Amino acid sequence: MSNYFPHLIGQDAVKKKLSFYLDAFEKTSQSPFLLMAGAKGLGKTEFAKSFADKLSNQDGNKRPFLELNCSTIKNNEQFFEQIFLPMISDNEITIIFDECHALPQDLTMAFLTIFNSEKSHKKSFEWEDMTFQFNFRKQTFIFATTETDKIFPPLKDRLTIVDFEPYSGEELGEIIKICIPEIKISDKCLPEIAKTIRGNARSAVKRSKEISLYCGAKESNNFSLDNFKDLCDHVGILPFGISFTEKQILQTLLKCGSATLTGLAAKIGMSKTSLQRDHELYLLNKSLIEIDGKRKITSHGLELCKLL
Amino acid sequence: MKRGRPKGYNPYYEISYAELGDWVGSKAKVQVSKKWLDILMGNSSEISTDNLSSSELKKEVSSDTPKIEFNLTTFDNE
Repeated sequence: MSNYFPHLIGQDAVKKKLSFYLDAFEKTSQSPFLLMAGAKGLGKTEFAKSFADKLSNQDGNKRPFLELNCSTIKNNEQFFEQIFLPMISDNEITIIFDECHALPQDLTMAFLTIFNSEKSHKKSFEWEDMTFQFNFRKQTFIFATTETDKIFPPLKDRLTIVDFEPYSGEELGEIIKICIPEIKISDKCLPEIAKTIRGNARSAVKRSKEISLYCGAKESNNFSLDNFKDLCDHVGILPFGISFTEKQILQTLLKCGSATLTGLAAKIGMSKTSLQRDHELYLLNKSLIEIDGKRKITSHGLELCKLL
Repeated sequence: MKRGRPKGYNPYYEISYAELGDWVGSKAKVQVSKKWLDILMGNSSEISTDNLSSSELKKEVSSDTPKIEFNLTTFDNE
């Protein structure tokens, strides 16, 4: 089977799945309605764009790629008037509905009808005395979200899920090297940089920009471990890439021994939801804290606190 | 008890200005969009009621709806 994504690092399962659908597209001119699912910064849009780049029109030309931010779609009328009629109807195009968990309710209901799987590649949708024609050989629809649990389940049932996974340290190192090929990063340094990137490709790109700026300021094309320590000190990069709020959580737990979620939220001064979703999960993932009824710091977390 | 609008329901009805006048008279007060009226009064030489179709009127009314954010990429053909 072909690999259509040699230029992208990691996500082997995603590459395999998308390559299969691209092979099928060559013969059938149709792709399933894909749902790119995964945490932020894992490359959902990048892969969707690269997938779209490989889709050809009936005349052999490449199709345009339309990225829509679903949080700015308010209702059916706005979507059909501003997007469907001028850009999609009768055109050969690939559309991605980014952050699709934020689709408005009436458009979600319309999509239940439109994306209902049937043998035909054409679908008519009637709304307010008007008929909108969809042709799935001409139009490829992709959805993407970080929050699959917030998608209306019947709509999710109509989509083919493509799951993204966190990047390994080696893959993150590869991404950094690709972003700044002109800079020679020492072999000891690269794994240390990767440890601070939280498994996230977008963070790897951001970190490589910081390294590029550092080297630019120093007028050097070599980047050593000492340079990285210096950079961390300047821009506030903490071990494991933890944020200053996470540092505060660890230090609070070190001070008070253990705390409930409500107690910890009160001490840190943020909402319980944000504390759980944005910070606790990462600290748990890195075994820096544990939850056994109450939140406690682990021995691993204690060691990190000494470094901080 | 059924609630909401039945399928295909449209709260608007298209009627010519002359026909409306036959029913309510030329001095009757009717509500129109402020923005549309401003355009008419400010640029009356550019837009006249004769050449403004009902679809244009509807477009004018809905021009206040926020714009959907999008990004269109066209790939180079090799």
